[in-house]
Amino acid sequence: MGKHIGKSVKRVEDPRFIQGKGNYVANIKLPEMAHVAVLRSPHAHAKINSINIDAAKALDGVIDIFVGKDLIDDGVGKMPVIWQVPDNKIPDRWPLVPDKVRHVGDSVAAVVAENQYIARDALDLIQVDYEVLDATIGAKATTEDGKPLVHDEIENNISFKWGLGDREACDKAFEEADHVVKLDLINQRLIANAMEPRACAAQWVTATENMTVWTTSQNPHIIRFGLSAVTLPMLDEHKLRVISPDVGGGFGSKIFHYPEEVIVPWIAKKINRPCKWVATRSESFMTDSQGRDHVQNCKLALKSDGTITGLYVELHADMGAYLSSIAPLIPTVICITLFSGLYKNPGIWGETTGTLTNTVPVDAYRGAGRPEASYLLERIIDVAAKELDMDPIEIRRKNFIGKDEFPYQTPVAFLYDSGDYHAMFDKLEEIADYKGMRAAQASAKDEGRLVGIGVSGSVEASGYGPAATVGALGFYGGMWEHGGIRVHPTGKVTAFTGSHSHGQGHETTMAQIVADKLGIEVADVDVVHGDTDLVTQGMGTYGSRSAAVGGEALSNAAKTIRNKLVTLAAHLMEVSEDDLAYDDENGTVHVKGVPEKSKAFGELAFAAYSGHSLPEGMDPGLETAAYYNPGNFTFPSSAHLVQVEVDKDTGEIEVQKYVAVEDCGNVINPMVVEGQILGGIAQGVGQALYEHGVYDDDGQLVTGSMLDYTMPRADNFPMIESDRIETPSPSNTLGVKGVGEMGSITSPPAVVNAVVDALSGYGVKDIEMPLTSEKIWNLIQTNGG
Amino acid sequence: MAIRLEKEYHIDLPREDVWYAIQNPDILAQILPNCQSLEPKGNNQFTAHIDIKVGPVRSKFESSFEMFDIHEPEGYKFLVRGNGKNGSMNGQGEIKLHSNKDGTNFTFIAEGNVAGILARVGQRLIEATGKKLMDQGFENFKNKVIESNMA
Repeated sequence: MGKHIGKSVKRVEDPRFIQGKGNYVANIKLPEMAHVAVLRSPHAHAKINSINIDAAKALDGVIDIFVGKDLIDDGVGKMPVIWQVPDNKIPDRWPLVPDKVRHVGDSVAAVVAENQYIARDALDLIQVDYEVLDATIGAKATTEDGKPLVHDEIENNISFKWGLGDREACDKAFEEADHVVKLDLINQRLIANAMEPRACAAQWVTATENMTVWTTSQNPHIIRFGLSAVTLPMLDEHKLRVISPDVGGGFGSKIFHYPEEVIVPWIAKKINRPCKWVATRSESFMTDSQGRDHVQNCKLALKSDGTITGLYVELHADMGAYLSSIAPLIPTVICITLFSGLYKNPGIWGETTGTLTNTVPVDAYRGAGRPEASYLLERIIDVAAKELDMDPIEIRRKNFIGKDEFPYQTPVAFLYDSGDYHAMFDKLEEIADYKGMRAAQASAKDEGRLVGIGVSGSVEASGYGPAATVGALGFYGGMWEHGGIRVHPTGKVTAFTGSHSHGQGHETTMAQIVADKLGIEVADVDVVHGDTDLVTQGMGTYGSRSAAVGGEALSNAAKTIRNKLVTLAAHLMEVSEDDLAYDDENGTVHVKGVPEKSKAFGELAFAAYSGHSLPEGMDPGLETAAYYNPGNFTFPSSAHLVQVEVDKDTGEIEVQKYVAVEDCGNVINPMVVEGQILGGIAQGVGQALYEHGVYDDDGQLVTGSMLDYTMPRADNFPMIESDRIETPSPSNTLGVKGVGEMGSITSPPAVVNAVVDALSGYGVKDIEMPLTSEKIWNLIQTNGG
Repeated sequence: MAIRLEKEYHIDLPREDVWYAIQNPDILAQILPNCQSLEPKGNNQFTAHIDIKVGPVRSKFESSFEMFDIHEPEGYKFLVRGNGKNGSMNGQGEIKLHSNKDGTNFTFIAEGNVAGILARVGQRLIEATGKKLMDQGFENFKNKVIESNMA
């Protein structure tokens, strides 16, 4: 290991962000730029009888107005679903709907005008004759006979069923169990609310027939492929450039290929002017793919000593009105595979029914299927502990996979790479002073106060791969990553990554990897990402994959550069390569044992480009590219402990203490890792206590603004104590595991366990998230408070 | 989302006078929450200009208002349907008049649905606002009816 990996290098991207100098899609200004606004359906389910655009078109400054048929007639394709499970029924989804709206916010028409104000005024003048139809909502309720069909051809609104596990072993576990715990849970609908709303701009150059699209995407190469292969087939991939510049947060909601990414470039070409669309916050609420929304019916089988022997789960997942890009993956492959958690459990079976409703589509949201898995497992184990009168940490420890049992094959497909769950919980108990907390809780109880302590632990599968495995599981792409390194003649370096940073700090951490491997300074490495013309290929950033897959690709590319430098140095110094050593401290190549006989990094770079003296067969130049296809997923783990106090009179919950211990393998930048953990915890606590995307029976989104959708704020948190253990991943040479989603995966059950613990005196077994003060107060009142 | 308003009021006038008053679009407009004006189109049909202000949301609707099941002097039912720039509303209601010894009991029932931004942003306030407007509206209505009977 060199001198940069493991150091808390300050983020090089931050100065521009905190000075307001970021370059976001909304900042793109081009000569003659026109502005697009999209008319959104106010109804959850309605037939479009007619659309009258005459008055809107007559408005001064309106350039043109388009409806669904205009795009279809011009050869625009349907929105693709790029992760499909077997027998998946895929409903048609057009960028602008031609005949029927299926959720509030569905796209009906697009106006292009001289400025965004005129465009929005024109929306008010479009007259749509809707024939309003009954709506269907509810992940499970929507499958009942007689419910309205979201898509006429999809019976009972069921898009797919998918099961995984050892059904026989599971049935046997329940037959032989000493104790069975049953728990029915709802993992509620969430709305991602990235700080930057989605946006898209496009420029068509008639002379060269080149299209450039700027979009707020986590994966511009996938968007380029989707556009040229499916949605805008009139554009050729090699003449289409997709740029995702600075992107202000995604949390999964910016992975997907969205209708506006089709509408805006199509209009730009049609009117032959650059165009831009920027979502309002209201549009974000009703058009960004949302998260979670599961109904989970669970059973856990145990021996009387607390040994877990089986888990049976029936899951209904609300997919919304259409399948968003990778939606079928989320409640299936990426969810049920984590039902084993930190534990040995021979008898697991889970089955998901993916259903359609008249609501905004649901897809990956930070954690994506894994928080839903972790929540049910960590909640039902807590209930088991209560019923068996065991300490919640004790019952978990009893079932942990031991550190000597890795690699560990679970009954739900995964081969865990490494971990040490006992050590992780040792550290958690020590930092939190768990015994002391329990003693303090007992004295608080004597004073009549409602103090609760909750724990949870989870395993995440991050850095999806190899490509063949994800292909077999339903993905149309590869999940490898590309990394390129260009050493310039002066010895400065540009690193190209197919990962995309939208808050993660890749410009720092990827530079640390490259500088570390080449023995140069971080400041001498510039990281380029988010541009399909500059970066050869890429799979983007989601699923906590960037370090484990993208970082490894760059590390491998750096090795190729090192090898060439050593070969070149041997030639220039007329020594054997075997006699040379590469100095990780300063990037020089020197004769072993004779450090003064050396060639500096910049000297060798210049020699490679001058080409005056190169070894036989060596080409000039000093750049390389690597594709890295991971051999396995990585399996980070984490343990959280929370103390809450519930106010008896108001039902308010105060989070008083939060301790998190994570294992994400080797750490590239501890400060960046801590930032990810804290952000993830904030989002997870948001799910547990505050956030809920609510639809009424008519399919109206009644939490359609920040007035009614509560996000967590800084004053909702105590100082979060975070620490870690490191069990390096054997899956990559960096030894790293994903870290971006751990916080949001592990925290919701920890918080709910704590609140249920606080209310144990009222006989409370479970409370549905979010744990609003109203809900808690009512519980206390109805249970004899 | 669904909204329901129902309330009974009392007015110190004989039922026939009240019945006469609710035939007058200018007076009737007073009691329909958020209704700015009613323009007769004939055949018991009207164009209603409705302007809803709920919290931060304002939505103007040009709606159709139709009376049916008319039973003089006991009351009638009505249908409202409108599209505005920020959403849509539709509903139905009933006005019932009962004679008693002190005058007339006036029952107003309205049920409807709103869609769009009124539902998304205004839902928390819309029913409460509607009730408040209905009370205010009835006071105005009563004054107008009494005034017109005195004149």
